This record gives sequence, C-alpha cells and structure tokens, in this order.
Amino acid sequence: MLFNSIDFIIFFFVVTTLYFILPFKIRWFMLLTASCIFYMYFIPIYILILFVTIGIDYCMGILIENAPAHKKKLFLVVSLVANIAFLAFFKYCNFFIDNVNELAALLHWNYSISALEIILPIGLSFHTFQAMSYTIEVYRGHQKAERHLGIFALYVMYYPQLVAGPIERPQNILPQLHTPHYFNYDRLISGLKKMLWGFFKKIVIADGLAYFVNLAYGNPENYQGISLFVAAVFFSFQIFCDFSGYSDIAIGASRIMGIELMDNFKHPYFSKTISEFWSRWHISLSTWFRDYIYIPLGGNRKGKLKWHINIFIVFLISGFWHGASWTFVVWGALHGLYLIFANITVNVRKKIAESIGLARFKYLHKYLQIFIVFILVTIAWVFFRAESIGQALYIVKKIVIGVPEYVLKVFSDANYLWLEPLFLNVYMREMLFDIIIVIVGLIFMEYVHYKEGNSKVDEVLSKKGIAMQWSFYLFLIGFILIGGTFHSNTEFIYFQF
Amino acid sequence: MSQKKIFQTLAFLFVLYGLLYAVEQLYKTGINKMNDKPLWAQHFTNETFDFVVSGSSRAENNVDVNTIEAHTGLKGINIAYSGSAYAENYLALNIFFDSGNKAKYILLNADVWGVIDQKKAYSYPFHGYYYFNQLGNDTVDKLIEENYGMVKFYIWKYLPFVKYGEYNNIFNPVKFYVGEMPQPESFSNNKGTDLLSKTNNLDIPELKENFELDNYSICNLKRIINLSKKNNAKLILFHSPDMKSIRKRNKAHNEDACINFLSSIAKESNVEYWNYSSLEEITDRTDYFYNATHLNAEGARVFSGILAESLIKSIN
Repeated sequence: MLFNSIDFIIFFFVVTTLYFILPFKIRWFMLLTASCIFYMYFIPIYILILFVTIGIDYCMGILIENAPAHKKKLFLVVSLVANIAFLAFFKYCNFFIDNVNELAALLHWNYSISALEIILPIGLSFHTFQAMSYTIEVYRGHQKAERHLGIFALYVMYYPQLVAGPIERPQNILPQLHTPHYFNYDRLISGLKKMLWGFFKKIVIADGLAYFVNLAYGNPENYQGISLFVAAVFFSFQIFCDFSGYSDIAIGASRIMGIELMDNFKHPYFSKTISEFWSRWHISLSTWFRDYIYIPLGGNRKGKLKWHINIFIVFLISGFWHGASWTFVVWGALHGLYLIFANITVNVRKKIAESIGLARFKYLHKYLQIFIVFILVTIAWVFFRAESIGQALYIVKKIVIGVPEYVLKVFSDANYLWLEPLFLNVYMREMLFDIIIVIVGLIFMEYVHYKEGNSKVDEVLSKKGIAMQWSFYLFLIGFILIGGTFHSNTEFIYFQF
Repeated sequence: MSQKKIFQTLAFLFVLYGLLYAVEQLYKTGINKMNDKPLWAQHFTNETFDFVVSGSSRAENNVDVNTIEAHTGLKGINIAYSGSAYAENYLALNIFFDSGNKAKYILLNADVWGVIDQKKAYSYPFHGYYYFNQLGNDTVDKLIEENYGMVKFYIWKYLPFVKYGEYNNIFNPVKFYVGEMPQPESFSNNKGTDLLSKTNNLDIPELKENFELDNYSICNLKRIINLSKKNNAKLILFHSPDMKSIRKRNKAHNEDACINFLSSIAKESNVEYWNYSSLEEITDRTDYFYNATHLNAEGARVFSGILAESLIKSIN
C-alpha cells in the first residue's frame, strides 16, 4: 500500500482508531494483521518470506540467549545466513547470472544461464536488516530475546516502517511495543503535522520533480549539458524529498500510536563535509553499517590504511545494498573515495582556506563547503539514477562540458533563450504550472529547513502565535491539493531496495 | 483533552473548510473558461437542434456536422469526444437535455468497443472529473459513484475542493488564467467535429483477447435508449466504417456476437441500427483513414455524406 494513496488514508484512520479502541492485550494482533494487509497490497505471496525469516530469527534469538557462550555464534551465523540467503536469492541472483553470462561472452565461452523470473519483494533489504539487527543485538547481550512471537513479528513487520524504514533497533521498538499507549491529543497533532510535511515533500516536490528527471534520464542524448545538470540537481532533491517524505509519514503515523521511530534525515544538503552528510542522510542505515560492519572491521582503530579500507568496504556494501547493479556499487565507491580523500586532505584544505583568507569569512566558507558537498553528492546521484555506468559517464561528461558552454553563451549571446534549457526544453506554456509548483515548493522547503536549524519545524512553529501556525499548515494543505501530483506513477524510490 | 484544544481543532477545521470552499468557487469560475470538449459540450443551454452526435472519438472524428447540415439542411451538434464509453455518453446526453436543449435525432456510434468492458475498450473510459461542477445532479452523482466508488464519491461531494485538487493536472490556475493549449478549431468552427489530418498510422494493433459483452456497458446503452425516449428524440445507432484489414482481426475475436447483440437490442427497442462497418466505398480506401479505426477529414466528409442520405431516408 502506498502512503500517498486514498487507500492508505482510510487504512491509517481505521487502524489508528482501532488501536486506541481495542484493549492493550490484543493491540499487537490488530497491528500485526494490519501490517500483513499493508504488505500484501504489493505481492501477497511474498508475505511468506517474511513469515519464514521471522520464524528463523525468533527461534535463533531464543537459542542465542540460552546457548552456552561457545555456541551462541553458531546460532547467530544461522540467522545471518538465512537472512542474507533470502536477500541474495531475490535481490542478487539475476545480477550474478547476468555477470556470469557477460563474463562467459567476453571469454568466448558458449555458456549462458537464463535469468530467474522473480520480482524483488518490496522493502526486502529494509526488513532483512531490521531482523538481522535483532539477532546481532541479542548475541551481543544488548537485547533480551523476545519470547512473544506476535510482538517479535510486529517488530519486523510494523507497517509504518516495513517497506522503507527507518531501519529500527530492537532496543528502541520492542519495549515500546510492550508498553500500553493511550490516546494523546498533543501526540496526535504532532504526528499529523509530521505526516503533512512528509506528504508535502513527496507529493508536491518529489513527484513534481520526477517528471523532469525522467525526461532527462530517459533520453539524455536529447539534452544539453546544462539541462542534464539541472536534472541531476532535481534528482538530488527528488530522492531526498521522496525518501525523507516517506520517513516523515512513517514517523508521524507511528507517533500518533505512541511509538517513536528514529529520525532518518537531518537536513543532509546543509552538510559541510561528506562525513557530516552521512550523519544526516538515511541515518538508520548509516548507523546500521557503522555498528554492524564498520566497527567490527576495526573502524579507525587499526591504522590509517586499514581505516580507509574499512570505509571503502562499508560504502561498497552500502552501494550494493541499494541495488543489484554496478551503478549502485559505483555510487557507494564514489562516496567511499570522497570520504577517504576528505580524511587525507583535511589538513591541506585547512591550510589552503587559511592562506587564501577564506577562513576569515566564516559564512562564505561555510556556504562554499555546503555547495561543494552538494555538487559531489549530486555527481554521485547521477550514477545512482542512471540506467548504466555508460549512461552515467555520458551524463557527467556532458555536464562538465555543457555547463561552462551554457554560461559563456548566456553572457555572449543576447538573443540566446537561456530559460528553456533550464527546464529541459519542455513546452513552457503547457508545463508552466508544474514548473512554478516545483520551484516555489523547493524554495519553501529549503527556507523551512534553514529556519528549523537543529530543531523541528513544529517546535519552531509552536513558539510562534497560533495565526502563524495555522497559516503554515493551511498553506501546506492548499499547496498539496493545488500542486501535488496525484496522477502518475508515484511509487517511492526506496521501495525498490 | 481540554476544552480549549477541542475548540482550537474545530476552529482550525472550520477555517480549513471555509478556505477550501472559497478556492472551489474560484476554480468553478476558472473552469467555465476552459475549452476541453466535454466542458465545451456542457455550455449549450436552451438550444434546439435537429440532431446531436454522441459517442467516442469514432463519432467525434468521423461524423462531420457541417457535411450533414449541407446535405440535409438540418441543424446539428457533435458532443462526442475521445475515449468516452457509454456511461459517459449517457451523462453528456443527460446534461445536454437537462440544460433545456432539444434534439430530434441522436446519432450514437455503436460498435464492438461500446458493448465490451469499458476499461478494456478505452484507456480512461470515464472522465468523471469533467462533471464535478454538476455534482448534485442525480444522474451525475449516480454515474460518478458507480464509476469511482462510494468513498471517492462522498469525499468529492462533501469535502470542498478535494476533487479539483486530485485532478489538478486538468484543473489549475495557470490553465484558467494563462491559457490552456489551443483547442482544435473544430470545436467552434466544425460544431464539435474534430476532423483529423491525413493518414497517421495504419498498423493493426494485435488483440490479446476476444470481445465479450459487458453488463455495465449494455446497461448504459439501455439508459441512453430510455433517455432518448424520455426526451422524444429518435435514437439512431450507427457503426462507423473500419479499415478492411481490421475487419478480419475483429471477426476472429468474436465481433459478430457483439454486432448481433447490437442489432437485436436495436430491434427490441425499436431503434434503427445502421451498420457501415463493411461499407466498401470507404473500407477499401486506405487514403480515407487516419488510422485503422478513425477516418481522416476526407473520409469523414464522404462518410458523413452517406450518413446524411440515410438520415433523409429515415426522416421521409
């Protein structure tokens, strides 16, 4: 079920109402049933995968807890292998087959394996990682094994975050599922506000930008470098609004029921360094990789070389987690390289900033850093979005050549129609409304982010008068209704992972 | 929950409702300026016509009102439009008569696409959003509820503006005030007929399944038959010519059963059924076609001449 659908609005209303009406003892059952219905809206049969992994992880959790120290690892390995096996089969099997076939063709071997006709279960990577974090935490002794099968199943399947996160830890969710939550007006309003903000980001901005992004990435050869650059920037905002919008809706829907999910985004495009970006982007995944891969590999404790190798490994895995394609691997590798480069050059960059006097202009320095990080992240997103590495390289090359060309032309040719390429040469009269909506929406969102600082928008607004608060939320509702995208394929991008 | 909070919530909802209501009224004014064919067709009030053409694009493109008028001296209007199934034709005709208009004859295109499941025949068979401004009219309410479901119908009917928000790709301020894409001249000059340019693509698309009669489509055809009787208009079902090569394909997919059904329902209801599907002077001429099922301007004029002759015979 898509959050941005009328079905979800009805589902949400019914489930939330039932949640508060039903006695606490059977709430878990109602929520679990609702989560099953939510998931089965996509491909019903795949619910069986969830049941199997839940069964295995539930048993392994108890076995790990009860086993003597030397046997705990065995049960953990069983759990991890089972989870990874599902992930490998459904997500990576055809990728592996394709690559073997290509390699065979390259070596002129008359050998070919047919691809399997399987569809990736929606949100597989998310709930698999959430399930894995449970057995790891039980193994580490940070979490008691859950005895209540229903509650454990709900931990894996809890509908707000089932298909696109945040990837929660058992320490955060399980105790909350065991605690009775009563209706709270302030929580209801706060949750609804969070959801509204999420809907705004998804329906107005992400889906509005999607039209332009799809045009450019559909046929990049038809566009000038500047148009592809605009499309790349648009995609940076599209993916942010799409994913953080989903997280906001999930967090808001859950908050109303009294279950707090972790924050997943903290204004990532205001980051001054790549490492800061990763502490603000998809936080639940970044911390998962940090806690379960990076630190066990040794983190930064085993010398510089090993540290950089660890960073690179983690980002390669992160890229591969996102999708079974070399484009995602390159995207992850690029971020790994950015971070390693940033670590190596930290002192040099500091000295340069001081020697040219940039360090004295704090704001200029800060915004320059933010701009550079944004451009680096945008270049990496080109690989993330492109159909192939070849297409990504073609786009990057065209951008590098095309943007300076465009700037020169704007300043040298007074008759040059400079606006059209900025909107991918769409028929401006026909698309004027969509263009106005996405531009105004983007400016409004970034203004709100800027004003928010380290707080949340509702916290900032709560300090203002009621007229200001009402105006803000009425404006949001109006904006969504007048400018939201309701009639195209508007699935969330991260569902595919 | 304190009384103050309840009051605040209610006050907020009240303000929200008021604002949405105000915006809806603004939109309604804007929609009046729009020139999309279904809205254009709703603009006529208290006019008298000799004939009105209704149906899908096969009526909109194939029946040239000017040609029929020239042959017969009758006054006509073409309110057919692309992608509309019988449910929508029924709605358009209903509003046409409810607005005080009169017509002696209704020419309704009747072919296999009309009596099969409308979702299989047309990619978007019911453009109910063009009738939002008529919500409250019993027929409009009924048809919108049937086609979109109860939940959407009640949301659209009782929550102001939400419906226009949901279809903001059709209705938005830029379209009202800056101007929509220029409409085909035919709307005004050709009395609703949209004459197509020369030949576009004569390929025959492959059919995956056989034609099967559909109860809902038939129900709406019967509604149109009853509506015509109620308004003292003589209904004439006509089957536009198809390109010869497509006839083979259709016949292989159970078209005869649908045609036989149309003949029998016409007989039962005392309605004329003019079947020009195999009219050789047109079907053999690929230069008369825009594509396999739609005539181009030249073909439409020839076919409309033939239709006019039949109309004269019928009148006499």
